Amino acid sequence: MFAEKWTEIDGIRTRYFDEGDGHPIVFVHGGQYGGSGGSSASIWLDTAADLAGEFRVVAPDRLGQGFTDNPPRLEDYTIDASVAHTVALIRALGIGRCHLAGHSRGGFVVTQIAIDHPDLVSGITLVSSGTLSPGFARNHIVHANANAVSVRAGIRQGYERYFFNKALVTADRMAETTRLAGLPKIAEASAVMFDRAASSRYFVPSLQHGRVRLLRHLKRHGLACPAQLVWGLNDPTADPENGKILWDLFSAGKAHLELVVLNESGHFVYVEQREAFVRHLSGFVAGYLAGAF
Amino acid sequence: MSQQIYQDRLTAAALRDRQPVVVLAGGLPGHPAYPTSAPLWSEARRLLEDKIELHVIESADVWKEAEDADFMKLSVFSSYLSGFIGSRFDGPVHLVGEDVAASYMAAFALAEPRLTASCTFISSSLALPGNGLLDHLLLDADDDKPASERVNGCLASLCRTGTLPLPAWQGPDDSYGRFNRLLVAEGGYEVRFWPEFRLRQEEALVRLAHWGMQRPCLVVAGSDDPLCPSAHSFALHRLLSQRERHAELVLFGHCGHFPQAEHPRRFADLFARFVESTLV
Repeated sequence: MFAEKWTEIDGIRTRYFDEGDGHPIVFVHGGQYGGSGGSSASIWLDTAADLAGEFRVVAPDRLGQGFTDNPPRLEDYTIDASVAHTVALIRALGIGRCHLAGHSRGGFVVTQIAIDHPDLVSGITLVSSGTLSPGFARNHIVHANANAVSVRAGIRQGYERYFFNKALVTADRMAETTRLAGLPKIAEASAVMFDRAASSRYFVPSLQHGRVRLLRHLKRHGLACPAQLVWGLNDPTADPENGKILWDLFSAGKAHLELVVLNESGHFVYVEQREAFVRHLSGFVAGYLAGAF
Repeated sequence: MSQQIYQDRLTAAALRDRQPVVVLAGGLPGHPAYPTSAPLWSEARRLLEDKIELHVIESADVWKEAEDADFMKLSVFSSYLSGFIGSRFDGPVHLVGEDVAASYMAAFALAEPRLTASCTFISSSLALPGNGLLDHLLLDADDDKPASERVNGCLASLCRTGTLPLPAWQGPDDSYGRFNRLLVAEGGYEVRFWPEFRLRQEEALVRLAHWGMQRPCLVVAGSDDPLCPSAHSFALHRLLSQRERHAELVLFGHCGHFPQAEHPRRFADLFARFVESTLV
């Protein structure tokens, strides 16, 4: 089990995991401020453990998520602040040029960093990112008609809808997620997002504007570094064919591109197809480091 | 063969130094624009030789010795393949089918599951009945040009890598003399080949839909393949995924019809890791 580590990034106390040696891979989780799903770096730990023998693996809790402090000001509840926090962490830990793997909303973060800071990024892996694929992610459909009688049951119900194999929504996974969702700081972030309208005033506009800016850049210039998209065939938030449309935007660049679709996996493809995900990610990174493409 | 015996053989295969792989090369023997593709596997074979014992079978080599009545019949091809695998290997082998030969591979694997450890589909339009966009090749064929120039032009139109095709990809012209003669004399592919091919393909699709391959499957294609658009690969992957958990799709960007030749190092590593993952 990886040990929790802590650092301060521009006044924000930040939790992260950091193990192994070799070319660094930074894992960026999904979700958003105040999300009841308890998104955090913990979701990546099995994947990171599988790769720690070959790579340095780093997984932070994003700004305002997991155990990392919330943003200090209402107007900092933006996707841009989350991007800036991740960049600052990479610099503060002296990680240097690294591979970035981003899931869902984390896909936005890693792609934006690759565009803005090509010196920091050797390549990226985007995982099931309905945030970036065309149209609106179907999260609202995934969570429609929720009928759970408690917070704990609601979180379990949400995860069961995200997963193809419901048996993988284990008691341990739910205990960790419920613990995170119950933190006072998460309740505080949720109140800021929805009671004080940071979501509609700052977060959603920043995501919408940022998304258009990012996709426009991709369409015109592609990406300078190799990019891999990995999608679960059964992801209820976005079909792999939507991922393909996103992937096509990357082709304006000349760097190598791969799209991987794995069967019997919903939104958390790296959990449901753990061996295959690790195999494809490590092969892709090792491949470009060796100059295979 | 019982599941246990199959499992034992698979385990035995895993203990060998190099995994046995049989590639069914694509292309159409005697076709005026796209006669062969076995040489396109040379670089992948070289890169894999430490881990994998890779045999490339070309349908032209199977059929060129056949009696006239069996000429270009898939049934002859399947018999040949059964004998080839049975005589050389102790157990199942990993099969790779390229282009139209992926359809031969699927038909064979469904009929001979005991000889099949896994199936890899390269640039295959199997899931869409008919023969994909192969007919479009003929539109580009310039009959007035010498054969070598015509074939080179076709291969170039299928690649997305500027330094390709290589001269070696054409193969020796005289290997296909019999195909050309018979094809011209007997009405070409429409009489000899496609009727049986389409029938077997339909049978394979029905069996895949109802029973599945029940073996690990990998689908690989290029994003810019003019013969096999990525929609064909998505459809094939979804079909295979209905009955087989271990079904993966990988698309290479900036890549045409020949991922194994256009990105040989990446393909070799990807394929070797896939084969290793099937060994339980």
